[in-house]
Amino acid sequence: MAGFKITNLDQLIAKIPQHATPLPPSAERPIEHYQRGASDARSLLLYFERNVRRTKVHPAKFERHATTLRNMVLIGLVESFERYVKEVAALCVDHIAPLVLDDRLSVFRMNMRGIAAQFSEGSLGKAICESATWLDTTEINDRFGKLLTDPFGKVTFQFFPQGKSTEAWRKTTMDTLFQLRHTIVHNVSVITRSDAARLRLLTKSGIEAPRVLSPSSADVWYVKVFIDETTAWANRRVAERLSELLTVIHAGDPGVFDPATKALEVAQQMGVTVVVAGHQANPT
Amino acid sequence: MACYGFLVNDLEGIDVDTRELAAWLRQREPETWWTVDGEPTLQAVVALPCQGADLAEVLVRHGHPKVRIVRPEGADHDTTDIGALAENDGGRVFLLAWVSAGQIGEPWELSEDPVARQAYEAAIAG
Repeated sequence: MAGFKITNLDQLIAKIPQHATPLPPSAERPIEHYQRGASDARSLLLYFERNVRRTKVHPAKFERHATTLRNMVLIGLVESFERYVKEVAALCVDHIAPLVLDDRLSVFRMNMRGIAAQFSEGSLGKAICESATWLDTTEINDRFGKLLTDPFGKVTFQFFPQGKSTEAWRKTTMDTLFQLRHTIVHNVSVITRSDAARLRLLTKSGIEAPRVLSPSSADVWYVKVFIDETTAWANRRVAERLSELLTVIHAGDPGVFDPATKALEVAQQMGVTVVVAGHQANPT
Repeated sequence: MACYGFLVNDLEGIDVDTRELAAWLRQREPETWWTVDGEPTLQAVVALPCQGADLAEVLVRHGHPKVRIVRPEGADHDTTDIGALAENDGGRVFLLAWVSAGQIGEPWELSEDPVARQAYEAAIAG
């Protein structure tokens, strides 16, 4: 490179993490944090398309940049979902871990540095869940299944139901989206032969490779509708299962917590009506 | 500063009861797909875009009591017709701001979402 030299790039880049803004109030409730993030992600696309339409642009060049942006938005939607799953898992850990003596947390790989970083905040859930990756439906099922099991009981809850469940399609569809995310993030949107082989299995249709992934604006909206619905559906199911589990724990030791207070906490955090040990609570 | 056809610095327009805007959405645009950009509470409590009837409910439940509808450049100064206060740019765009204790909040957009409408129609047509 000729003509210029920046000698403090290390310092300039080291400052980037300081260029940050506070979290929005919606971050306190996982479902709302998801909805805000997903809405912002897609708004970026609409904003770009609407404003560019007002100017003179070459259609081919516009389409090339718009394709890149659609792929970025698609990643944003999937990552918003991942964050939701992570936050709701952390919330479940914080409610359950102090009340049980079994080995349910062994399903998580403990990151000691992450635990140390969260020590002052006092959230074991965040310490365990934040540093982990939640981009595999089988792993998500394993973690939630174990986490929300009755004390010393068998796994009954599946975050993504499988087999003959009428909701089994959600697992395959989410796996497809996780695979598309992988293609965009790790292969710069190029569907490699190995990506194609996996996508072929998931979608049961012929996928050519190598090809550059070029979703349409409608595709991005379909992804958002699917993740919106799946997040709301999962949120209700997790809230219900968490409440059932708390009810079982309370039945075994009625002095362990006040069910009315606990129900209110869960309802507030999950944003849905719950019943714990006969005490119903609604979110405000 | 101009933003679309709005004069953002002025935020001049009409103040309406939020229930009036909600009623307009519910009665006049129940099946139109709308999205919100720049209003963190509304964006958090409802999956967007959503149809007018659903957005109307959310506006009443989570919005402030009064909202300013910013008048686009060239719009009739005397109009009180909500529909006439939208900028039309391949879809209607309203620039809005909550009015609270006489203070005007940060502007945000309520815009028609033609992509969602077309994609929805394509999806249900199979």
